[in-house]
Amino acid sequence: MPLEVIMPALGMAQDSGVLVAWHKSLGDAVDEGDILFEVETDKATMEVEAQGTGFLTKVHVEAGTTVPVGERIATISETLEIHSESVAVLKQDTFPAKAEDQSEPPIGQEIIMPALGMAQDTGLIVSWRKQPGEAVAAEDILFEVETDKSTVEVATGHNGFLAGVLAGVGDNVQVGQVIAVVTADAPDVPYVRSSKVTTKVEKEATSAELLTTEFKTSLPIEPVGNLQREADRILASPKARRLVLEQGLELSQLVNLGYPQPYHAADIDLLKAPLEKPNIANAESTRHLVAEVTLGEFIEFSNWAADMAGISDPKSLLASFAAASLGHPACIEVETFGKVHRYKATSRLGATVNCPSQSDDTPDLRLRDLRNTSVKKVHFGPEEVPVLTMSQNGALLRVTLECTNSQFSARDAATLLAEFAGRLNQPLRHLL
Amino acid sequence: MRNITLSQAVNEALAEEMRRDESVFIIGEDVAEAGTPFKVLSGLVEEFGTSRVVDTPISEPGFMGIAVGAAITGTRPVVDLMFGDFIFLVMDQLCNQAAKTHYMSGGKLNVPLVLRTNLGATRRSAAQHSQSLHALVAHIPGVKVALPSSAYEAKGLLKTAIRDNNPVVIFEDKLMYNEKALVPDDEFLIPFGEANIKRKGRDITLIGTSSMVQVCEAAAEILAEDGIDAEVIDPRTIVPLDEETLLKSAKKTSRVIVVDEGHQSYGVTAEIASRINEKAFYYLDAPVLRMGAMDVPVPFSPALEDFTVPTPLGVTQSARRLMSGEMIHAA
Repeated sequence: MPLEVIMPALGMAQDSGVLVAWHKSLGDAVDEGDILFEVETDKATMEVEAQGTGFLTKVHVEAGTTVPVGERIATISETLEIHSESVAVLKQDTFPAKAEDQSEPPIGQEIIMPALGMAQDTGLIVSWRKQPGEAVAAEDILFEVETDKSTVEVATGHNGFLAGVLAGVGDNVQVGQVIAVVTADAPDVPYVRSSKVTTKVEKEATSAELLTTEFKTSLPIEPVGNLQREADRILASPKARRLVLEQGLELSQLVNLGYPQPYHAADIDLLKAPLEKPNIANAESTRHLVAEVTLGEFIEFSNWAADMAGISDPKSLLASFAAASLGHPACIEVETFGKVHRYKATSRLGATVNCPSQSDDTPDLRLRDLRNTSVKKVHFGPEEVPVLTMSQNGALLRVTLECTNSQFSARDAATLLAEFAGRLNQPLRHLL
Repeated sequence: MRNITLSQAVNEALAEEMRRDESVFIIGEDVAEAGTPFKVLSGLVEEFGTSRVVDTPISEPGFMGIAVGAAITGTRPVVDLMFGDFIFLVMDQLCNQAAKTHYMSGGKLNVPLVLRTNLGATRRSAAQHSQSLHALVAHIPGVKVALPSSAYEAKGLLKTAIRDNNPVVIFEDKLMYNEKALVPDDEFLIPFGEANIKRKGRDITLIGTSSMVQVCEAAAEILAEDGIDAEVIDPRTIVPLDEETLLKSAKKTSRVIVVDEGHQSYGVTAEIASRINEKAFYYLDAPVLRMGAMDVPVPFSPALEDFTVPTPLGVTQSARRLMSGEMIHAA
């Protein structure tokens, strides 16, 4: 069987080599291991050995020619039968090609699957850029090949006409295998070898197109859905989510209570408490809710408010927080060491103003500050107005809300306490 | 129990192992008469002679290469690398040769080699003598990495390392050589891959390596005053890593800070935090925080240098943020 000699890939990034010199001539006897020719790449000049024994029966390339990697250079045959065309091939550009029989590929410049990578042995034809029969120039991109590493556009390398296409889109072709033939003259009827693989790939493409179409149809709806989900997304720690799931609760209940996000495991306990309250509630009963928060940031915030916003009275800050937690401007009575201060309070810190303690207005809410006392836990029972009592328990601040059923619904009571405790815990939330 | 320095503990571990096994020898720069710049090896050359405490010319790749060859051919070298920063010079010998020989020989060859070196900033040694590069080595399969956090660990881990049949790198904190800890009178070994729970707690887990264990313990003391009960864990070896103990603690406390003196990016803290995140996600009530050294060359200026490494106060502040339920990474 004749052995085709191709331009070897000698370097990692080499795509062609200059055949510098022939060491054998047409018709010479060749032993395996004999130096056939010399190739120069951008890095080095190397001698290429014959891979088999026989006679050099075809020489396609003259010395001095730049040859793409994988291109056929010569043929070594077992017998010395110099093919008639081999002489002509030496003047390759003028080699005549005739597509005589459509069952056979036309004769001309054979385009082979190039070796594009170091360890590549096949390449997938992704697309043909020229139609069979079309005129091509050497620098025209003829087809695209995909290897395991990349997709590469391959130039024709010869001027002429694409007379034969021997592999279809989707075919995985061995490196060195002929996939197209370029002839000097325009073919009467271009030769095309169809392949089952091609058909299959086309079908896949069709279904892919269908998918794309379906996707496009649903596109106008999809982003809106995403946006909604984003807005509805409740921020909670993984543990909080797990607890909620395990206990059959809903994070949205916390949202409805107005408790600020993100939620953590401790907030889930808070969620359980107000939900249990209504079950034992009756017309006569009172409400008693307790929240615990750390206070460090409130003190910093008070200092900041005094320095930066000129609010030197921390009681007015508390009154503002309370009004904001109620959700409307309110008259807040702040009771510290038995002294009473009344504020017309709004959520805007600067807008909270002192009003005379003898004012006839009934306060909306009483704020009893027992922080700097040794009182840790309170249970006063309901008064004529709802009362928020602040007491200190170690590093924690305890806030107790006491009111009657008629003063606040369970839900409003929980909201008020959660809002107020949340603001004390992270005063910056108040500003946001 | 005796109260001895980390230096003495290392010295004792080497002497004991060299008496026990005559194939153990020390090789490195200034290891014999000088006993290293930190005086860790003082007195060993008097007992074991210059054939077992081998001074070499100043060529880290050279003596590391010799040690790897010696280890493959039947001895147990303990290589002394004067500063951890010089590990870049022995990377090929350590990572391409020692780490891979057992694997590539199909288990036929062992490399029972210990590389002793150090880490730690704030010694005013500037950028090329202050790095903590253990993460670089821990990245390479085939090398075990031990980070003793006191004299006790230094002795127990080194003895285990010398008896290990494949490469172990021990990073001692160069600022801890003169710090004392209680060490048993009798011989003892500390197995690899067993974390040490230094302090029990239920609110937050502080995982510290090497000298950062002390930082975490100090932070835990401060946090206790606030009523925050911190658990402190010392993994002792980062390869192998005692995941089980770390995960168990993370699941218990739901909050974790990992503290290590290597640079924070792509470091030990990231690896541990990531494993906890992957394997204890549904138990976490806050993001796992990393606290490493700043991603800057270690400054020579003392004021700046102190600023680049994690401190008890910094750990305390981070712990409080996690405890408060604050939005840590508000997007």
